[in-house]
Amino acid sequence: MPLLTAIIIAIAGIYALYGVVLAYHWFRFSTSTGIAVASAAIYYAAGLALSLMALAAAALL
Amino acid sequence: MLIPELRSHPDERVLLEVRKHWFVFLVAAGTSFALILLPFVAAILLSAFGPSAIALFGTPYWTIFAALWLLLTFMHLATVWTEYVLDSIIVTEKRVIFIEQKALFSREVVSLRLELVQDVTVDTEGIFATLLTYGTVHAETAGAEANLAVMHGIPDPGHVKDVILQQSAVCIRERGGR
Repeated sequence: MPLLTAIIIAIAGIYALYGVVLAYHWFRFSTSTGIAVASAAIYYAAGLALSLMALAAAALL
Repeated sequence: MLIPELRSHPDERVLLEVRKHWFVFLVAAGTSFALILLPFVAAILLSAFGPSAIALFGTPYWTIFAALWLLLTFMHLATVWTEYVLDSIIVTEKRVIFIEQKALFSREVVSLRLELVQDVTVDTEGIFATLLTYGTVHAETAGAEANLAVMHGIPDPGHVKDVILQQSAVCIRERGGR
């Protein structure tokens, strides 16, 4: 299903780009480095896990 | 980490820094949590229609839908988190700074010189605010160009008020009294 895979990759790409905007705010305006690092790590780890899950399911079709 | 508001005065010691109460984040993130749970609630509700409806939820199609749905709701949740975590009150030796992240790329910073602070008011309203001890802090300066700063959802607002007023008294003494 190349179309479905393309849709998944497109949404994952939007998620990643939006993460850059959020990370800019976390690292520029947060008073705590720990919060900034943890926020970015959780955001991208969740995004990677969910994208891989969707791609793995698409591969089964 | 030095935020832009403190970078211009790196020698200024920070006496107190408070973020909003965690319950304020929970309320703001309520929509996100509801959206995250939606595919699973739908699965439970549709299971009432019999085995054919239940069988749908093991399929790759449902997995793809749930994963993409969660990606989109995580973006919303992360935005709410960003607006929550960047709001704070910072009391330094010379200033009190109210920082409010209203939205992405919309930030309001009110910086008041402590020797000019005339009045600090604390306002606790509602059952949750009373039980969990959070409220609104208002700070006002004296003079012709009076300035007002307000921040909602501050934990232990009485303590914040005390710190601001104590340090304000110190600043007034250092400048020769008023």
